[in-house]
Parts: sequence; structure tokens; C-alpha cells
Amino acid sequence: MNQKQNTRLFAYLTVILVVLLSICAVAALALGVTNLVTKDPTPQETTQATDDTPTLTPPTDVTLKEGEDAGMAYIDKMIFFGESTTAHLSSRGGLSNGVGQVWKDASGTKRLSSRLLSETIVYPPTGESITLEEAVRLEKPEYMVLSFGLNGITDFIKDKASYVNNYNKLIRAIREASPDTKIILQSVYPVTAACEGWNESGATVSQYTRTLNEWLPEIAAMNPNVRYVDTASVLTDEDGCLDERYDYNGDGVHLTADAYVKIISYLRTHPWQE
Amino acid sequence: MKKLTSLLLAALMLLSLVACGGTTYKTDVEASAIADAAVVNLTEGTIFKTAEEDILSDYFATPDYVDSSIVRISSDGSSNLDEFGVFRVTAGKQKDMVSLLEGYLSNSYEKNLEWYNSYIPEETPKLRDAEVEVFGNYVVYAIMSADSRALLFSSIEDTLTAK
Repeated sequence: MNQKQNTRLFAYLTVILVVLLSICAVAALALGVTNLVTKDPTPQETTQATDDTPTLTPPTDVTLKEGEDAGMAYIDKMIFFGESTTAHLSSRGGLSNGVGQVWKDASGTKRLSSRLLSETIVYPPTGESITLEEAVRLEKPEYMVLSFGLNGITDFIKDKASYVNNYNKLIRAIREASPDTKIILQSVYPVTAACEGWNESGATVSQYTRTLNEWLPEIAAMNPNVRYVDTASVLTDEDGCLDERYDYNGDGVHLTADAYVKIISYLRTHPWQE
Repeated sequence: MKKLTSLLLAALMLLSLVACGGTTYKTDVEASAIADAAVVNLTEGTIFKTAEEDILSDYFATPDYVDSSIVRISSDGSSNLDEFGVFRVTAGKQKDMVSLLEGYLSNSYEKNLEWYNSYIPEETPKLRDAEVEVFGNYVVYAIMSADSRALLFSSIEDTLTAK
């Protein structure tokens, strides 16, 4: 190979190298842009789940009416599951077996959401953390009393579908795990007028609880073997807020032992009706 | 001489392509297998369980372009927010999935901040700093500490690039 051929070969190789490096640069740039896009922290619009909000008219017969006192034997057959005001039944509720009848987790509260069925409770007979469905399958309670709505109420009030659909999922899960279990939906308790637990006044939040309590009979009516019981009515003052006598620690939400006496008494005197 | 030149050129081209080619990820691994492998490497003592299929339904409906997915959450979900999800999507749909998941993370943070702060404030930074990463056709989000996120992503990278 002479000098001229060497120079030509070197020129060819240089051109090829430049072309390949350019390709690499373009590819690297493209990958970098992709990574930047994936790291973009700007909140995006999400697509809401497409479940329709059911619009059934609630029949009046799903609401449990006053009847003969069914006694503690009736209450003893119940398992309670809900928010902190339900969890406190285990210690302040006057149940025969407070620890065994109230299902909760270490936090002592639950929130109705699409996560609820994936979360766990501490199953009282074994102390194991298992899902609600697993616990219901093991226990097969005669009655399950559910109470949800205050946790997340400012979201629910704007999104009825979320409340209704998640409640329906919870009910279906219980039914699938134990088809004969009778399910009682408790009304959402109000908060005191002075309550500052939300960015809105206690009176407004209590108004929201009344709205949710209008939805609960609709939910009960959509499902077989489900009833609604308006236990909140025994805790409410003339303004529709939680009577301050039942405010346990001044936060306007949590309930005294006297309040639980009233609730249990209301459940006993408004027993399950077929 | 021509033969030698051709060989040289071919070798050079091959070398260049190898040097600038991006990571090649597998596409045939089920999301659950990726999650299983990743969980083994997370060392903070969190026990992860498989969530209900519709756990994210408050935020979005799983799109048709997702053909394999899984969400794992801490078994102690009420006091430990650790959570991650793996979604295998049709090629070209990665950005759409990233948008959905980033929307989920930001909306969940906004929606739950007050609630979580009231009883597990030490956990909220996990949700605030949650991240979404793309590994080929797989889009992964992680709500966990920075160290655990790094471990999770590195483990998934290893799973999807292992020979």
C-alpha cells in the first residue's frame, strides 16, 4: 500500500467513525430525553376509574327500625369494623368481648378506599395480620357492623362514586368470604361544632356526614342481606353536630364511654329485621 | 489489502454499535416474577404482600396496553406506606403509563397528606418522594425510602438484563 492509498484509507475510516459517533450522539440524546420525561415531577391528570355512580332510590325497609330489645346476646354476635370511633369500641364500648369483636390494626383506624381490602387487620384469635377477607373467611361472623365515612369525608363529599363503589366492594368481599353474614352499615357520626380536625368548620363536616348518611341506605339497598342503622341520631345535638357531652378528649371526633352505651343500646333496640 | 480493510471496517462498526447501543431489557418476564425477585433484595424488614388487583382504581383504570402488572404493599399497610408496582406495557406506551403513575402518586400525596400526617407523619416523605422508572417495556413506581427505592430499581434492572 502506497502513501496515497494509506491517506485514502485513513480518510474513509475517519468519515465512518464520524458518522458512527453522530449516530451514537443522536441515540444518547434520545435516551436522555426519554429519561427526563420519565423523571418529570409535574403532576399529571389521572383518569378516574369508570365505575358509574349508582342511582337507586333507597327503599325504606333497609333502615333498621325500633323493636324489642334484642339484648347483649344479639350484640355478642357482632363483629365491628371501621374507623377510630369503631376501634375505640374495644376499650370503651362495653362489649362482652371488646378485643375479639372489634377488628382493627395497629394504627387503630381504617379508611374506606381502594386500598382497604389490600390492607390487614390483626385477627384477634391468633394475633396474625391478615386481610379482612381472610378474617371473615375464618370467623364467618353472624353480623358485621361497618362504619366508614368520616376519614376522607372532604373527598367523599365531592366524589360520591368513590364512596359508594368502595363500600360496595367491601360488602361484596365480605359476602364472598361468608355468604350468610348479615351486614349492618352504621351511620357516620357527626363531629362537634367546635371541631377543628378539618379545614372546614365542625358544622360543615357534620352536614357532610348527614349527606353520607343519605347515601348509606342506597348502598344497603343495592346489596342483599345489608341494612342501615342510624346510630348517629343518638349522638347528635339540635344543630346536627356531635353533642359535646360525648366528646371524649376535646377533639370533637372521638367518643366517650357514655356515647358507646347509647350506640349499643340503639343497636339492641333496632335489631335485624328480615 | 481490501479484505483486511473490510474486516477492519466491519470490526469497527460492530464495536461502535455495541458501544452506543442502549440497555436491552427482557420483555417476557411476568410482573409478579420481577416483584418476587425484587422483594428478596429489599432489606428493611418490610414484608410485602400482593395487593388486590383494583387497588389503584380510586386513581385510574388499568389501561388495555398493560398486559402484566402487580402491586405489592407492606403487610403492615396502616403504619408503613411501602408500596411498589410493576407494569408491563405495549412498546411505545411507556410515557402514557408514566403519566398515569405520576398522576396517581401526586394525587395520592395530595389526597392523603392530611390523613397520613395525623397518624404516621414519619411515613409521608416516602409518598412525597416516590418515583417512577422505565426499564424497557416495564414501568415501575416505588413508594419507599430512598435506599429501598435504589435497591428496588437496581434489582429490577438486574432481573431484566440478566443473561
